[in-house]
Amino acid sequence: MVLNVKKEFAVQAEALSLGYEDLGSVFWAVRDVHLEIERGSSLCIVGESGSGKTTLGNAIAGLLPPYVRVAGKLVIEGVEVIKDSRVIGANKIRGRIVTKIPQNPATSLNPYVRIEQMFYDVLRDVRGIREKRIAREEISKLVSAVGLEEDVLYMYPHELSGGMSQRVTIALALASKPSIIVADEPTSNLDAYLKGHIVRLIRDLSDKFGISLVVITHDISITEVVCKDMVVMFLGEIVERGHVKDIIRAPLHPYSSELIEAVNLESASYKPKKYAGGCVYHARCPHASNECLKPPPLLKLSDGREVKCWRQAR
Amino acid sequence: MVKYYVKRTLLGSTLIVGLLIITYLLVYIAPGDPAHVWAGKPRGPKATEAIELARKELGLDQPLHIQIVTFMIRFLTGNWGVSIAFKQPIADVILRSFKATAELLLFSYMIAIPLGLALGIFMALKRGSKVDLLLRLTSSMFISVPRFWLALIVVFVFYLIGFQSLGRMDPRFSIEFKEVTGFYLLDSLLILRVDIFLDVLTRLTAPSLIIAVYPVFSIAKYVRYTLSERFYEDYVIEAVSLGISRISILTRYALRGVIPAVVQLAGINFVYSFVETTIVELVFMREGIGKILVDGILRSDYPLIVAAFFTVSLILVAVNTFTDILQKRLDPRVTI
Amino acid sequence: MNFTRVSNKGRTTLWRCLRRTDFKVGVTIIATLTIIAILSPVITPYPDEGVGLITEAAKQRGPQPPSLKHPFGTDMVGRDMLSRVLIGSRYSLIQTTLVIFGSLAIGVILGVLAGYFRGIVEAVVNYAIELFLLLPPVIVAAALSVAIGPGMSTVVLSLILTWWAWYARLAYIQSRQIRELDFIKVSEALGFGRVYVAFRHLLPNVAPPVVVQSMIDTASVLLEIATVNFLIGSVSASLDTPDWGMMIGYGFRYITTYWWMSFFPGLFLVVTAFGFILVGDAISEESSPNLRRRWRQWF
Repeated sequence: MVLNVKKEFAVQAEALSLGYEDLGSVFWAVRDVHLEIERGSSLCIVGESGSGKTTLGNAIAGLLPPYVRVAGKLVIEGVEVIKDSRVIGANKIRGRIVTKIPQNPATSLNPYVRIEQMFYDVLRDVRGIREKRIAREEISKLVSAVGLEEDVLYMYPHELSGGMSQRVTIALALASKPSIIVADEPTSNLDAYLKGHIVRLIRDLSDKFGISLVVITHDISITEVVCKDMVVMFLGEIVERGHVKDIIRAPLHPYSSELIEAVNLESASYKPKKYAGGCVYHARCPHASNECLKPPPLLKLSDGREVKCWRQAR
Repeated sequence: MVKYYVKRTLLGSTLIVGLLIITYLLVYIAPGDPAHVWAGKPRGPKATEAIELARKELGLDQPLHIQIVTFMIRFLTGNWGVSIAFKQPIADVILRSFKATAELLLFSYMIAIPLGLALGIFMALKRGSKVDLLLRLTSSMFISVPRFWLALIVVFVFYLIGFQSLGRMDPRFSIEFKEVTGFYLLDSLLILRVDIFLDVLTRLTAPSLIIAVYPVFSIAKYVRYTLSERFYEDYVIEAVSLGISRISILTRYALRGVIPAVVQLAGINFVYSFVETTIVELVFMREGIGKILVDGILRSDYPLIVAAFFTVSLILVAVNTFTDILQKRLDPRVTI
Repeated sequence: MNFTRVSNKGRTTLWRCLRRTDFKVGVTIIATLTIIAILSPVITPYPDEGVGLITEAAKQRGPQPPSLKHPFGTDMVGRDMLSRVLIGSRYSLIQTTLVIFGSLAIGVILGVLAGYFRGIVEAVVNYAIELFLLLPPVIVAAALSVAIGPGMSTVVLSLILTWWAWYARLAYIQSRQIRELDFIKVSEALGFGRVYVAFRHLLPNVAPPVVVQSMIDTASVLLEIATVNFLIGSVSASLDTPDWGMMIGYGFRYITTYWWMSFFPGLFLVVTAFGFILVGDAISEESSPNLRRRWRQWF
């Protein structure tokens, strides 16, 4: 398998599979994913819990847990992270190339130190800024960029509100000047009003600094605001890919339509099971036919649109 | 926050009152005449006189609650009476022995806490590996060796190789030596005698290391588990994803959260070690609380044992109160 | 995040324990010792001397170093140490069992009462727990040996006095959680008496984790008992009871001349404690999902 490392891509995944060892057997959370993300673009990964979107997002951020099994290839900004079923470069990209905006900002800040300490740590360890005065100026800029007062720097995480701590994590993600930011469910713990603010903030800042953005979400309502492109994942596979507007206007995969129609995904009663072969969605698909017992090919349509469904193949 | 300190200290004080009551009841539950026991089970011509004196001291002709109050007032005012075994005021005997025990115990913990932390961090980083398994087996083995027996073996080996390790100090120094604080390590430095200092230090090291066995492995085991669990906390994962260096994550993120609990654990272990120390002292023929207990039992010096019991419990209340407060101080999230 | 997966393969805690080498080794040690304890009057060469009789033969023998005839040597009055050490296993096991069962009974009952009946009962029991946790067992034993005389009952009593509080605290925490569950509320609503509900419904659910904890720290009980026995042995003018701790305490005065008198009882104590620790560690690891997890450093 030859993969040309092209510089214009922020993320390149070729036949990427990610799984967890479990006493001999392997549970594959992500299967055979092909994905390219152009530099400076913004991509939303959408799916319900158990779809493998978080695992994929973590891999892009260089967070590969122990006992992970990998297959295929993952290249981030020209750095080979996964190659020949081995993790080889996760520590080279963490912080330096990719940072992550966490799902639970409240628990993701070090509860034992003041906020400023985390900024100093990032600036010192990633960017090598040791001089306190320079670091301090840099931190001021970051804090005002996310719309916070400087007072927060002297506070402890438990003294911050949910919205404030999410802004702090965004500022921290920007502190190391990354090329890519992965936002993992950035709005799941916020109310509707804050949600809009935070999503726009992430979009504007990544536009301003030219950062490629990967947003992982189950909430299709924020995709239109924050992303240009979107992939839909189900049970570890990408079932559809395209511009956000196109997919929302005319979804080609039945799962995408379900997502768009569903008011609240988390309440979906269906729990994804282990992949049993064929089309990942056929057990739940209203249009399932005998054909769906075979795995459908990934169909490439015009304008970057891709879909994995036998109905479109016909 | 201040309110918590006051509350914790108040609890400590009520515990002291409770301890006094238990101490008194120990006198009372003894079969036979409590005055007979309190007087040291005397025999001979002066026995009746001694028993009458004890009866007056304990106030046995009064109702029980008055007895307890009298007993408490006597104890709290420092009027502990005269030791039957040592023919000296009990308070003096206890203070002297207590300093000897404290020197050994404090020295031992000064070794044990850093060593336990270091070992625990190492094991946490290696958790799941062969080295970790080996270290865990080693620590299980060390913990299953009773410390008094270990002390015995060490004393025997030192005897075989002719190494002087018994007592607190070489007897030939006893004339030149002047007690200032009662802590020999400190005193020898105060009188500017390096040779005495080294002698005291060598005699202190072996028993200290033996007492340190339990806290070292208990702290290491705790740190190994809690620290390695911390590696999967959201805030540590976030720090990793931000590219913060491993050493910063270890010290300022993961370990920082473990320290308050280690302080409390050290406090609990201290209670246990105190008991071990009394026995290890005995084996190394050092003076201390252990010797008080043995002499007390041999001479039926009940007031002395009760005083030792009360003093040790008092220290343990103080240590527990202190570590509880320190633990809260170290955790910024606590805002009581 | 799938960072922490716990495998649940292998059904119950006991089943998972049985597949561990350390657990098997520990159980083998304890089982062997129990068999020795039961059969000791039959298998020891000098059972009379073992339990403490000073026979005529022993008197003539006097203290002797280990030899083929007396592999562990003989004590001050010539009794065969091998017999004494083997019979001593009975004393250790019986004392440990008494202390654990006694502490469990007191601890669980008081803990359940405190957890179920709030108010004054809760306050008093909690205060007592705090208080008794502070008592140093060796010193309590010293006081008791003056008051009621040294002996096995003093040792067991002083240990129970200090040990029950650990189990009471555990049972209290457990029952405070369980009393909020529906089935307790239903029983109350059905009109069952409060005491009946506490002992019939709460107790059976509180006891198992406390019992598991008592299995985990059996080794600590064994060693603490030995420590107290050491003190009693070291003040005894003569020693008949073949308890390991007492024999070590008695023998330590003669360590430089008759080292075997305290060495062999100690060796048996170490091996027994190691057996209990292996079993305890295995149980504590297999009964807690976090400890059971496979682990590798990841960052």
